[in-house]
Amino acid sequence: MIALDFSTFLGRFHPVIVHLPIGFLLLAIVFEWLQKRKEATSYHSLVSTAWFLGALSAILAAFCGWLLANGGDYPESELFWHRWLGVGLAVAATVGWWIKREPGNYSKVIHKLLSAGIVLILVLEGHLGGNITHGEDYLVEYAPEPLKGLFSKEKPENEYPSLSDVDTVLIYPQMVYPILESKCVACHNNKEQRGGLNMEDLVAFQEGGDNGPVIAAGNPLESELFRRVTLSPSSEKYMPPRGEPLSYNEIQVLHWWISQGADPEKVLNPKEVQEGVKPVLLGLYQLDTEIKPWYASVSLEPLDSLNLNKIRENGFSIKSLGAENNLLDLKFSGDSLTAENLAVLGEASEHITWLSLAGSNVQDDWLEPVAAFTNLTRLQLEKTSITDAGVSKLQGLEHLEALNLYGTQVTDDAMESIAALPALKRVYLWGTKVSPKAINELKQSNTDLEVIGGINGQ
Amino acid sequence: MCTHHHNKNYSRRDFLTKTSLGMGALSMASMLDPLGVFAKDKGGLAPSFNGGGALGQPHFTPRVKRVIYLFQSGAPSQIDLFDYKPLLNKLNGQDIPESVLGGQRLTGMTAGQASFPLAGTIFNFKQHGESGAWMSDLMPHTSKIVDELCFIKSMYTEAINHDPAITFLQTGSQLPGRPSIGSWVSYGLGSDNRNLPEFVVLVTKGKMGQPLYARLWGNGFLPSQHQGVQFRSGKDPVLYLTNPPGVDGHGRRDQLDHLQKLQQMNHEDIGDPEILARMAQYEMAFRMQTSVPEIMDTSDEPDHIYEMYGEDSRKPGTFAANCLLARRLAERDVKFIQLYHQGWDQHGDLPNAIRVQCKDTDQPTAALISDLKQRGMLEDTLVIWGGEFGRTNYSQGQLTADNFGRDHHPKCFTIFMAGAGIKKGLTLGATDDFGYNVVQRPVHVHDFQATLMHLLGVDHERLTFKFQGRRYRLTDVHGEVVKEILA
Repeated sequence: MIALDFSTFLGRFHPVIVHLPIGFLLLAIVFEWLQKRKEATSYHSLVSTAWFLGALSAILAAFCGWLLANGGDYPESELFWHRWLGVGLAVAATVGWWIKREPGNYSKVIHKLLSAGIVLILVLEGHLGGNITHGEDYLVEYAPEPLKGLFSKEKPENEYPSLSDVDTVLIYPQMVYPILESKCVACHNNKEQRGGLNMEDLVAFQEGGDNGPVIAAGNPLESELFRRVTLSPSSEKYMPPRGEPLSYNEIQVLHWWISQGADPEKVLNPKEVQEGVKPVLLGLYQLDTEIKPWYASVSLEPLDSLNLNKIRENGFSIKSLGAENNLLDLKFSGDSLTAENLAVLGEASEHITWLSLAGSNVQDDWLEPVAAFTNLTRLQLEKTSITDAGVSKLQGLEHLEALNLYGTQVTDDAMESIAALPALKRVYLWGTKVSPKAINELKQSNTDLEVIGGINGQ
Repeated sequence: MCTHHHNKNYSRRDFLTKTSLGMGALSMASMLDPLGVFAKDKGGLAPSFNGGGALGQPHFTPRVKRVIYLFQSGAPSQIDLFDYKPLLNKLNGQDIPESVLGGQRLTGMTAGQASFPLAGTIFNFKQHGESGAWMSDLMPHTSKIVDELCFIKSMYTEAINHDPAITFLQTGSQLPGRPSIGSWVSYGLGSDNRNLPEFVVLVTKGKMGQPLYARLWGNGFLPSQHQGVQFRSGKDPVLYLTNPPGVDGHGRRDQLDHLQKLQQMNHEDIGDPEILARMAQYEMAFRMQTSVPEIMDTSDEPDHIYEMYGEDSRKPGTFAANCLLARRLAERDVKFIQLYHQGWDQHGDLPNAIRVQCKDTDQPTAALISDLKQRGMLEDTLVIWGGEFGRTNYSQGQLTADNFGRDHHPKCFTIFMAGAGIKKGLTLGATDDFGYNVVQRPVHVHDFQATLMHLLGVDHERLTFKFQGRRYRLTDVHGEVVKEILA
């Protein structure tokens, strides 16, 4: 540990020393050119001294650089060319120094090639080093527009693949791993395991790093992984140590995944996505997890127009749910309804999703066929003489979300039938014989159900 | 004398459209689908649905079937009602920094003012409900139902004076002549109740303030049966609707039947589409002779409902009475119900004037929303409350400890909505600490209109009408649906 600390200490002199070979070697080449132009021999010792200093500092810089790279703050993938060009430069500079001691022994071509080679390596090596330290965009970030276009790569709008189908998403491989891959795997992979952690391989990832597992399932704040990416960026333990930090949205996804158990095989269930996470998933993956109303998820062939006409002849007004949905919105107005009229709706039992019999003369017994309307989501029976017996006929409406019973003869006894409707979200009970106590009990028995009584206690 | 002349009333444009395009379209259709042209249910079910809107059926599933728009004419001060800015109280009396003002175009009423002293509100603000929405104590009743509401605090507009601004909000253009929102809705979606107009307007009686013109509910270039029909308080809710003395309903029906025949002949002869509009309006008027008195007679409302809307609701023509009427109209499936309440233009003496306005409107607004809710009507009804722009954060005229005025401010204002299809308890957007500029999620008037149409199931880009050689729409060439507020 101490040895590593000391080598890192030395390594960090790399950014200081790297400037020396650049200066010395360029100076050596300039001196050489001057010497030739003025045909003055007095430059000779200066030239070989400059080459000597250049070679010495290049070797030192390469040595420190090597130690710094071993310190582990830099991913090997970005380092490769910088490392070996640096070594190459040290070798070339040493060769140069050797040649320049007796320049007359070598042909002009060799001198020219050497100078050109050194300049080329310096430019490339300096640029690569700059990229590692400051980031790839640094140099041309503020370049004038046309120039910028030449250099900067078009950044993709979204780094993560769009997930369009909400039904088949695996949370870990499709949502979490792409984040790890873009931000962590460069240093934690099968070949290289900084801190003993390999995130490329699932089994190794679950085993954790040198200090044990990095994820505490169900508890993001206790998870080393989450802690490291949310530390102060100035902290030495902050991850990733270099490059783009994790965005707010990415951190939210990690938090969400860990807090629901960090299960690598879990399939996304839109119902379990909390409100706050929905916009995050929409932003990162274009994945809309808003739960659609039932009627939006049903796709049916349009109802035959003969049936439509029949329904219309029986006194119902018919509306469609728009050009993209073949479900129907039916309404009966007036007090001339008969049981036969309602029975005719059986022809459209799958298609009716909204039905209003409000204010009509509907009787309890006539509601029998309504229970077979498999896609019914809204039923309006307000201001009718429906009683508990009518409500009990509605059993089997699996997708009924809103039931309006205001101004009916319903009593406390209907609460059981109402509670048994599995998808019910809102029930209107103002102006009925239902007692406040029964309303309270219904509210408590199902917290997802909104029970709307009278506003001023009527 | 030659009485049978050429078709001089049949405009060149109508003629060309009907003949060339009509025949062309027919032959085109028969080429594409030789057997289907005359089939009855061509185009799926579309033609057999609903009350004759131009769209046939909505573009997508409507979350809202009807709208009640409580228009607060004159522009209520968002700073004294909804948009709490403690910084203004801290800097009370200091000049507004030039950096905040940012070269904004000012009205002639304050442009010459030597200084623009910031005026903090003198009303108390509190957070209400589970949603924690800020409201001043000017609206105690509305404060109780904030969890039903969705506030947009980042509305902005382009006009700086009332008439262009209100025309902009109602028709999508600052210049008069375009159809208003209600007319577009009526044109596109048709009627759900053939005994009442699709678009009804109620104006609070006896209010002073910026004038309102009938063109605000006008049909513009759309067929004229789509204009808003104003219901007045008093003996004649709709002018000229009752039979003249000595004519009974039977006689009127007889007269209309014969008139229809003449109009029909006239139409076959001349072909002007406005003849059809006129015929539709005669028939509507006849049906309204029975439906309107039934709506306007609120004697069947129980006392507790009057108490809920406030004592004013017993006085016809008040905002409270109009709110109650709005609910009755909504119950009968009128699609677009527009209330106007004047008197919010408080350039001076704002603290006193705004108290009066809030007393008029607060309780009825809250009562209307609650009443709709208990009847289950918020399932498919949308209520909107708002004015045409906001008011400045600096005082117009002298600023004293308890009195000040505020000028027009187009750069930010607050509206709220309640009901179907939108997120309850949400506050969208924010203004800066001075309450002057929008800093988060700006919502332009056209965005608001696009969202309103979206909730009604209409793609605002696809409901158009060709006029003077170009297709017009409510949002002209602008407008983005504000998806954040959709439930």
